[in-house]
Amino acid sequence: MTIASEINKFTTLTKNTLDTFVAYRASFLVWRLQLFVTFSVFYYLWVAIASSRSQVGSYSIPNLISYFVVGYLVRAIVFSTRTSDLGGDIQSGSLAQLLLKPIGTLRYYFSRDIIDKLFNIFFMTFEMLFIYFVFQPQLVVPSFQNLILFLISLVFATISFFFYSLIISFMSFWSESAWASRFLFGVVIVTLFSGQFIPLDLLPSWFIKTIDFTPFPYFYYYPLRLFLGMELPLHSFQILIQSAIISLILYLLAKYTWRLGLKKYQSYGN
Amino acid sequence: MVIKNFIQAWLILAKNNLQAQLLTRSNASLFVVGKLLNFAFSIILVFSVFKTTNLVQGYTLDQVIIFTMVFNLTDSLSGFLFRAIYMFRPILVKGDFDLDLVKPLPTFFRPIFSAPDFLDLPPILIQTIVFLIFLFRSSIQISASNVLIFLILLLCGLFITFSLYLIVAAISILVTEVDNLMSIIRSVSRAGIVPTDIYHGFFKFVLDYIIPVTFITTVPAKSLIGLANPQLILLISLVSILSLVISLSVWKLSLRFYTSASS
Repeated sequence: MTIASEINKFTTLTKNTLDTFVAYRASFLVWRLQLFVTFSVFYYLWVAIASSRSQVGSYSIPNLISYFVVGYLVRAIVFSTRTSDLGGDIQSGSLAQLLLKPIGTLRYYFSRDIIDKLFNIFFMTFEMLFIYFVFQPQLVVPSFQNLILFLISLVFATISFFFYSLIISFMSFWSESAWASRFLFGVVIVTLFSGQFIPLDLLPSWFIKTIDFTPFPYFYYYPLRLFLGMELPLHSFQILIQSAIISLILYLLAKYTWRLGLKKYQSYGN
Repeated sequence: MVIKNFIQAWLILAKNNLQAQLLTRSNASLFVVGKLLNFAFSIILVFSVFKTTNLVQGYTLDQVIIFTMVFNLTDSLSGFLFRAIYMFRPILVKGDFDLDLVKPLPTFFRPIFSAPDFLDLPPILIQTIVFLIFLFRSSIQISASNVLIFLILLLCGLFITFSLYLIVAAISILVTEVDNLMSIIRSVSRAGIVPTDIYHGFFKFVLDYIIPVTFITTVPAKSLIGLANPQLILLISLVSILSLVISLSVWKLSLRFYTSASS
């Protein structure tokens, strides 16, 4: 009975989310196009930097190209999220409606995130085929072991980014604008410090040593390093353990800030 | 008369906008920190690339840093002047644009100039200071005439940016889509962080002729270090005039399709 009701809720959510996508299909397609354009800019930038060279730092050219091409897939899976809407819901007061629904708010957003990721993966598959046939990149084929390590790290990255993004949205309980904290912590810092523009080990060594204590490299950089087989076996294992710990810490932090935020929430926008 | 109205209206709205931004200082400071981080990271990125090589497609580190700084400066300037484009969609969807069409101002005033972003001023100030310090310390010789040409071309670049944004505003009248289109333009513009000569093929074509990042950032930066020839300078002037004419025509045409659906 419980399982059936859960499936029913998830099906309704999927249908509603699908309806939203269909209603705003132009927006969704332009959003995908924007992601593709961003990928192309950095792809071409690094291809240009790497041209007439066999190595950039510790990266062979196929490694570097794979870092950005496979990174496109990682971005679609890890960073596609609907949790950013929660900040707006808190600000507008419409969170009150969500709190009354027969589904936990965090579970509601988690379900929407899964659906969002599935949509993004669906479209990204065609884009990857386009990239493969039009750009004809030299890609690295990972070993079975590296692929498994990559997939595990991707699961941890997705979970930890979900909770991280939730925490940013929860900041709206205490601030006047949902967008300001999202801009700094959810866009600028994540984009720069997760290695989306440049493999982090090409940056000064003090930089990577410092941000190694933050969740950002575990969202993007380390999963790709594992895919490329550029980490020693012991360090790969260490990365997975650290990713799991980060997921757990972010989960506890999200739960704590959610409880704290709800105590403060007044739904004055309604 | 129109110019006088334009300046008066801009000053009033700029003052209102500044007051609104100062009301939420903690939020304002988050935005400024984010913008400065972007700037700092772009410089670190260039230094990191040059850690692995001495030349990128014939350009030295000092030259590429100049391109990066000009990119950041043009980005912040266009953010300060034209931020209103991001606020145009709600106005359009609510039907409030009707109220602007009857005012004695150019019709493009609301979508482009009505909300100067003062949070871009601290980055502009810091970027200019860092830029000047770098120019004085670098080994590149820069003459007064180069600086003059650079400033003129920077202005041409801003005209081209204005034209691009106006075309987005025109499209938004037809499809009420602004944010993602702007994101596409901003994503492509990021390619200007380095001289666009390093790109090839279709992407170079896009940067030269479709979203002319080459003319907005690369050519002004080249003029500063004496790498722009007179033909290139003449070309950018023509491109800026042509883009203004085209964008104004597209804008006028789009206004004929404005139905004020929500009002």
